[in-house]
Amino acid sequence: MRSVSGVLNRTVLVICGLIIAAASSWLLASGLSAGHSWPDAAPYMATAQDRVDSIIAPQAHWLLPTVALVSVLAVIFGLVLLAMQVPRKAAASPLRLSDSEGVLLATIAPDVLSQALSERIQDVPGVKRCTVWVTGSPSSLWVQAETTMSQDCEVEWAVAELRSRLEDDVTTSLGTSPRQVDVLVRLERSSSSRRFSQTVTGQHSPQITGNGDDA
Amino acid sequence: MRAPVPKLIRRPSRSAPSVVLALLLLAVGGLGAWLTGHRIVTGTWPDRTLTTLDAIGSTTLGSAAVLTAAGIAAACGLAMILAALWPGLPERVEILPDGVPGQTAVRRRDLAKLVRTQVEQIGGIHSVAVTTRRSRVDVIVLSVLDNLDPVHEAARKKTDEVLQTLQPVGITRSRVRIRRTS
Repeated sequence: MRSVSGVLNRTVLVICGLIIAAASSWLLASGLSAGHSWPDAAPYMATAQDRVDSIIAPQAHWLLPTVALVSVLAVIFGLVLLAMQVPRKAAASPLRLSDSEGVLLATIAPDVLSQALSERIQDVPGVKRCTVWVTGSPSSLWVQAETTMSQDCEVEWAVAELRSRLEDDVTTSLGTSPRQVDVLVRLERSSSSRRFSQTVTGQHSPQITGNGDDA
Repeated sequence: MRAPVPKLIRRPSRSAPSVVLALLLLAVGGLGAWLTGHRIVTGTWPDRTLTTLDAIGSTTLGSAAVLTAAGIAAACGLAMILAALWPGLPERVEILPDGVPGQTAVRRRDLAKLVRTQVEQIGGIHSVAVTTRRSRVDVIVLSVLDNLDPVHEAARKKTDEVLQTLQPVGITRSRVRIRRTS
């Protein structure tokens, strides 16, 4: 199953948020002359009357190359951060089947097993689409399925059926039951019956003119 | 690059603020690289930016413009820290626990859709709006009938039935309200 790393995102947000908040707090404190009411901090702050260029000018010799370097790093980091938002697949290694003496019998690509399981699940009534990912080893397989189901189907029955089918199929094909079977259920976005009912309730009922004996 | 196996039920990944931050870094970094690169290579600032840079340079720290910009930046920084530290409500809920190891999850929106589909089947109901909260399902039923009590009771019963069937983990209560619509 594809996912985005929340831990990485949150770490980056905290670090950048702290840097931005600290820099802007210094500007605010300097601009509001906080040094007057807090003399201990006054040496580390500028005064409200200082011009921006008068603060930058004494440090221009090292500030310019530093800002250039930081800008390039910011662009690179921004691109990496954007790329990190693309959901990534979980790591999956080839499944190696061995006999009781440890001799390698066969190697199965995880995609082959995933595809076979997906096709089996799509036969379950009510399941419109299904994608399966497998990861781990044959003796400890982790199966994750993302299924799209019809809104009108018996979801509880369909889920029970597809979970037991996934477990049985893995047990039959690999000889051991899977370590974990995770199923993410999504409902089909549009439903023709709902649109139909909305159309009917949204209109006035047809007017009856005359009496039924005219016909 | 491959990621570790993700859990089905997880806290929000904060992709939206991260995308905003990435775009901000690209914009600010690109502008900074262009300005400083031009200055280092040619020895002068780009012609088009001279007026703006002069205006910024002559601004005092106590001016309203600097204070406003610093205030906005501080608010953005605090918002980013809050977004990162606030755990947030998981987008998915575990449902239908069974004997097979592992879990079944559904998005909160889809859980609301499942409840709505069931409640809509009660006679006398015009429309249903369902919202899933942290530990409760809120159902608002609109009916055209004069006597709302039987419909209200039926909707409440049906909602509880659906919750008992799906067994969403952490969501045990429901609140059903009914309104008359013309």
